[in-house]
Amino acid sequence: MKQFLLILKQAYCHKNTVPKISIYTVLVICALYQSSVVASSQARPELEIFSKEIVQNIKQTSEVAGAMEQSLKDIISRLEKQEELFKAAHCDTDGKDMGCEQLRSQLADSYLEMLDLMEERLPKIEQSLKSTHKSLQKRIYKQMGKNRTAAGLQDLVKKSANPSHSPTLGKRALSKRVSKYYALVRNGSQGSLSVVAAELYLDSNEVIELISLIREEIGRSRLMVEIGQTWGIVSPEMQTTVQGVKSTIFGEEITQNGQISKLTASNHTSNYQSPLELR
Amino acid sequence: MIKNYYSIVVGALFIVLSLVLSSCASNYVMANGPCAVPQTQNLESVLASSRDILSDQDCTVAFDKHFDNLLMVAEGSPGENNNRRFSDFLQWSEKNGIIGNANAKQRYTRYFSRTFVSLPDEYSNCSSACPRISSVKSDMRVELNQKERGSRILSNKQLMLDAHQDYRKVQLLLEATCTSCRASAI
Repeated sequence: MKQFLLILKQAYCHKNTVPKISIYTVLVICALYQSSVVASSQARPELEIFSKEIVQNIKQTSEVAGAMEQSLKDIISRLEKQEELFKAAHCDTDGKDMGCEQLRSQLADSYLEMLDLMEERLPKIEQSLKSTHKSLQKRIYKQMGKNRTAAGLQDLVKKSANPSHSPTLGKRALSKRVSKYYALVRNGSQGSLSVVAAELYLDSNEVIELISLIREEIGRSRLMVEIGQTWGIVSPEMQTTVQGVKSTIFGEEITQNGQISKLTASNHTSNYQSPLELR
Repeated sequence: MIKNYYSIVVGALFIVLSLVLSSCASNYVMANGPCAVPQTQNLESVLASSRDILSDQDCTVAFDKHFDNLLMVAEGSPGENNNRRFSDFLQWSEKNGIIGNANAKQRYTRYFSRTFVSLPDEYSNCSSACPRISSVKSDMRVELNQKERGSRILSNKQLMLDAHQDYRKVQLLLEATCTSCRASAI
């Protein structure tokens, strides 16, 4: 089409250099151009949200998060055992002897180890997620915000070849969350990819905020433990933080069975197609 | 002075006339009026009676009431062929000039299809849907309730499941899209 326009421009702007083009030719060209414009507006461009770079980022995030979770699991289970021992020895109520002091110190060391590990690994995950989030934002804005209407979004949902995939319900471990997205991106169709992209975009934003909160907390917690070690106090906050890490990083497999999921589909599916039905 | 007096008289007459006409219309639609909705609970009879009544030019203003009544009666006698009955009724109404084609299509789709007609289809999301996202969402919610009603009328739970799934997915896409629009505008 650009060539046609170029010929037109040359024909009418530089009449001396190019042979004259009849008005009929111009009309035919215009008609051709018009039809191509109409056709292109009818056939909306397909979504291209997941670039190779984004897919790589998601994969990397999933791997880093998985490795961190594995390391944290060992530390947390050690922490839990030490805590049990601490309580069993009644160190939490009346423990001023050497044994309790030793347990207290071990507990604090494990706790600091957990904080160190998170401090070391979280920036990598955060950076990877931020990069994914930024790329997704650009693409969603361009392809779904600027180039589509709300009804156009509905068309994308209808195209979805993966009706079983519906937005996430409940929390999952960070690595499971990300690897689920990775699997969906790898196997997804156009329609379901838009839903996955939207979910990942919003979810990554939430996780980035959580990570930044955790990173802020790490510094504060470290200070608390160090003061605790000096004064011989095991802060109850330690226990709370460990619980927080468990629910934030590992998640909880909460299944929210909504009202709809309890319904069983009826077999009475009418095949009638009304001419009034808008599609 | 005379001109002012004349305009006051004409204005007063206009107000009186509109009051008389509106009271006539409401009398027609009232329970005992000639345009009142049929009292029977049999869907076929109600459809036939409503057609009879709405054939009268003076009763076309009562179309909404008749349509609502039909939905109510149909809920009491659900069946998989009810969408055909409603489609026929709406096509008849359109043919007889009671409602327009777009209105008929919208009404049918609102109740008996998983497609959401309340979603705006003009301009881009960033410029059209996102600035009034709360009203778009609440319109969708209203339509979801209508589809639930339609699914009860058809005794078709699959329609409700599909509509709920589409509703959640479209809401998610809208939320992500509008978040990206806001972020990109900064």
